[in-house]
Amino acid sequence: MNILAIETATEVCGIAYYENDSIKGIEEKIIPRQHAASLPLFYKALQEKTGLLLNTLDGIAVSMGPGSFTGLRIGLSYAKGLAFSHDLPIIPVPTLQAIASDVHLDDEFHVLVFSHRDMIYHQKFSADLQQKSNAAVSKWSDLKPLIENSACFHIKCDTFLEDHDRAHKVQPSAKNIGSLALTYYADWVEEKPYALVPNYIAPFEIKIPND
Amino acid sequence: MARSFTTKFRVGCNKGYKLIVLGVETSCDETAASICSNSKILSTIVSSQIIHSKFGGVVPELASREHELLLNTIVQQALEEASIDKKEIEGIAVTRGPGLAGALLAGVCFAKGLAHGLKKPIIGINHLEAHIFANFLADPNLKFPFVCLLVSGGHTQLWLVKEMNNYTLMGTSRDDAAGEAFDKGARILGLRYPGGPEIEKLGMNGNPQAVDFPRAFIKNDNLEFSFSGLKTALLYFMDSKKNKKDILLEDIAASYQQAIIDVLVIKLHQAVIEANVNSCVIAGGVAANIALRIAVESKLSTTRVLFPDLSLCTDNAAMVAFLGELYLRNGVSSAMEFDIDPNLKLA
Repeated sequence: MNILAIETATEVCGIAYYENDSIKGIEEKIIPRQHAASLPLFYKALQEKTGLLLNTLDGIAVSMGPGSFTGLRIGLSYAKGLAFSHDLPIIPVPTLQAIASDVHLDDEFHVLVFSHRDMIYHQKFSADLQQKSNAAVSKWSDLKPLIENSACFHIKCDTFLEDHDRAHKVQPSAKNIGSLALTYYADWVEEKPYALVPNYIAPFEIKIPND
Repeated sequence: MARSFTTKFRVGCNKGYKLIVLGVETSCDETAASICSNSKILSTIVSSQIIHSKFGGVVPELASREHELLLNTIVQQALEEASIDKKEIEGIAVTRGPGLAGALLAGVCFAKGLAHGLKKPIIGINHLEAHIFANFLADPNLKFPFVCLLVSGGHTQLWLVKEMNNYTLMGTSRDDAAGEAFDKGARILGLRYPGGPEIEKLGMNGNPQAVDFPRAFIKNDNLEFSFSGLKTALLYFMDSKKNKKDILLEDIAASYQQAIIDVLVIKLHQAVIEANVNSCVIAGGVAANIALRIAVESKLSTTRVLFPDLSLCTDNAAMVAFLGELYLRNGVSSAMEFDIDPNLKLA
């Protein structure tokens, strides 16, 4: 199968191309707050290096969150535009599951991604990468007792996990988005992707102004 | 974006060959798409996000989410209504600012994806310039130079438009925009967002002379505006009137609206005299106000006054597609890494 994969849920901005189920090329960088300007350039660079053709794709895989609200929208909006041009399906890929797919451990573990203030996105996985909980967002004080004795693979949670002796830093990658999309293509593929929305999870507070 | 031109732009020209442009607008709380060809609007779809009404103003994160969700469908509708296949699109124009960052991003990212997928040029459009050029859609015979009063929720500005790409700011608001004054006034009066139409409706049969609200800078000969004092005056007035029922709410609304209109009309008149032009145009959401239209026409009786259709005053993608076609026809497009600019200026 041929798949284009996009990861913009965190500070990593990446795009990868899989041809006949194997990765042909990837453009990926840590570039906070520059995803909107960079993603199209990465796509062009990838296209030049790999010769990918949109009309031969089986779909575009997108990291759907949880993660940065703006980052998720940049990736999904760009993917929807590309997909619309050639009536391609989109394969929505859960961000935390894609991160977990790169973990090799003989024990269950948690994936943690920093959200804001003391809020953290998290999900529990078994050693064979089955989801043991739903992706959720919690306050650090509520999450702490749940993860104390298990391995943690995290993004930007350093300050919270300072004293945790089984904490490992990870980075998401478009490579994992693509490989997971290939595995679950039949289950996840969305032929009419217009109405797909990122998995925001985190509620946001609306202050009603009173001036 | 390249901004130097050797040839003069022709507005409303019809040079025989077809150029089909998709316009996309997501700068605030309207998700919009339009198809323009040969300076003619083939379709224009606007979806106003009513979800913000209960919060008394636009919630940026909500607006961004709605744009992301709706845009693809709105673009599809615009194509269907114009009976155009997406493969026939020859260029894409998208608002890159000014506006809400997250809202702009949803439109720009989708437009870039589509442009790259179709391998067609894209141009980032200044929303304010698009509002000015909406007047050529209202009247293709409009001639440069003219004065443009741009009145919306985000702007109150007087522009001297000498020709395309030659704009001089004659005056602007030091604080709130006129549309903001309507919105904030409406909130004080317990009305819904957006406030302009609500105040207009309530004040329809009210007495505009009932309350003497302040008119800032009205005796100065500069072209500056200020509306924050007016909002405060209304707040104090409502506080002091709490236990009295002698003044009707519709009189207050009419008087508040009149204070805004008086300032706009006097400054516009002054600008037209200063610039020595024969035409003036009103652009932006507040231009939809009927009382403003009547007041401008009576004060500027010797000037050609142009008010675009209601659908062109408020945010729309037709003006974006129209201006985009003009640029693309003249060989101007944006580099693919162009970014949004929430504070984009016109000059």
